[in-house]
Amino acid sequence: MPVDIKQLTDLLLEGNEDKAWELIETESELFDSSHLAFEVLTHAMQLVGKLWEENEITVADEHLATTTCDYVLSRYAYAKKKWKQPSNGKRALFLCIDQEQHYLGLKMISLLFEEYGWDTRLLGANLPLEYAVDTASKWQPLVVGISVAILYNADQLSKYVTELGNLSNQPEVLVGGRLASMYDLSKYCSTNTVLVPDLKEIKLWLEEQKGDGRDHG
Amino acid sequence: MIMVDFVHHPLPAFLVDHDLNIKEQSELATELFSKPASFLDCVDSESKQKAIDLLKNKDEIELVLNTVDSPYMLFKVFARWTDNGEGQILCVRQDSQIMELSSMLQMQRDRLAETNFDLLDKKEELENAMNKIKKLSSPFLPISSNLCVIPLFGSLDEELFLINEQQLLSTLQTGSYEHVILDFNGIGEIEETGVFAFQSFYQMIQLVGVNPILSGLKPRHVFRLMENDFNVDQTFHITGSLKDAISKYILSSNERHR
Ligand code: B12
Repeated sequence: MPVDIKQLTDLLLEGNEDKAWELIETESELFDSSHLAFEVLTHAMQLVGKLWEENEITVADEHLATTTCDYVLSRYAYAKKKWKQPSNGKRALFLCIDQEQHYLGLKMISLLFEEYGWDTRLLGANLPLEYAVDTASKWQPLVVGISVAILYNADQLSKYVTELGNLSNQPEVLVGGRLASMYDLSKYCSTNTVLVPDLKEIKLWLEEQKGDGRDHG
Repeated sequence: MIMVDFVHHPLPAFLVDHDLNIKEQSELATELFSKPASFLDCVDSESKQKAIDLLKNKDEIELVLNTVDSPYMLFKVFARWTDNGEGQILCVRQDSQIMELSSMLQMQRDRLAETNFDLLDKKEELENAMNKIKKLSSPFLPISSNLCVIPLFGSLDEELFLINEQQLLSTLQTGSYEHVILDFNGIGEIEETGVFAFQSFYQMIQLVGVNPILSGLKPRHVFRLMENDFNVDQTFHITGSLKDAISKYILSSNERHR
């Protein structure tokens, strides 16, 4: 890792958004590669989780770390606006299922898509199915990305996958999030659902889509 | 040890043995957790290790517990142990207020972040605008084929030259000018750094083969220049007003070219 994860984690926990941003911004490797930057932030948030398990911090601290991390993400996206690829006209919609508050990962993915030239909408945390269906049928995205982190939410996943996948324009459904990296979620999904365990996979997927665009004109 | 009335305890409370098996529990505990056999039965799978490791050693820890209504609810859990290995466990619900607070915090933060970034944008715009103003502060006026005027405006500072120097020098170089009049009429303050920048600008004009003439200098300008070791009298052609300068140098060059 190009930065000291512990140091980054401490800054997130302190709510020191300027220093946390500086740490990312001044490390050229991180500034050049969003994947790497997001990976580092993911590790830092996971370390936050470990510290909670060790009783070193409370959930209140996790909240502060979350908002600080969120700020760094926004700032990162803002600073890299200039390097964004021109719009490819493709649309992707992102959401967390009902009762799911863990949206940081989803936000990272949405920012990555944007960088690759996609038009994105980040509906964010805790989205009831009917809203998701409503937005998706109006906006007609090519891709719907769903994030799940909490074990008990897995049951709801299959409803989302089925209903969204069956919309008239048949969007491709991607499922990611903490659970996707820990368990095989295929029993909650349909055969054409794409399960994405981590950042590396989504990078491959995005690169592949880029190739597609070129081949078919 | 003091006997505690567990049934009517004002909190969800458990009396457990050394292995966390439940011996007694309060009414409120039953309401929230039903009747588990072990305290660990109401602990979320990903809080379990924490409960096992720390319930015995810490007075107070946060755990995610399964309640009758929700499979994952955050509690602050207090544990007291007696010498015979019995423990009292009290559970205090944490989440709802925190959640509300946090989402408010989040919204506020989002809004703040937006304005912050907007401000950054504005700052850039402002800087661009400033640059434009500076650029306009030294237009270039060709008077004849061999005479031109650069009227300086604003305060004579380093930036004035940083921004305009290259452009002006290349214009001077490509033209066939003999003289350039640098008019100080519009100059207010002269900064110390501006004097140095000006001196170097002056030298570069000479290097591209054009004679600089100063006009419109006010006494305070002259003092300020001298104060900063600017050699005013030797090499400089100082004239009075811009009008005087133009008529003098147009005449002189006309005479020579006749
Ligand atoms: C930070 C945090 C929070 C934050 C929320 C952060 C946020 N807004 O995202 C707050 C404090 C709000 C929170 C609340 C809760 N949390 Co919490 N939280 C965490 C923590 C510490 C880190 C999560 C995180 O931010 N990870 C970093 C992100 C970036 O990783 P990620 O989501 O996996 O995303 C990556 C990939 O998965 C991928 N990805 C993600 N989404 C998608 C989508 C697509 C389409 C694709 C392609 C890829 C993709 O991209 C990312 C790139 O790296 C974890 C602990 C842990 N070990 O994970 C607990 C944890 C997940 N939380 C947990 C719990 C229980 C809760 C609560 C229910 C109770 C509580 N602790 O208060 C509440 C309520 C939440 C709710 N109703 O949803 C448990 C879950 C247990 C379980 N059995 O499932 C954990 C494991 C902690 C624990 N040990 O108890 N939490």
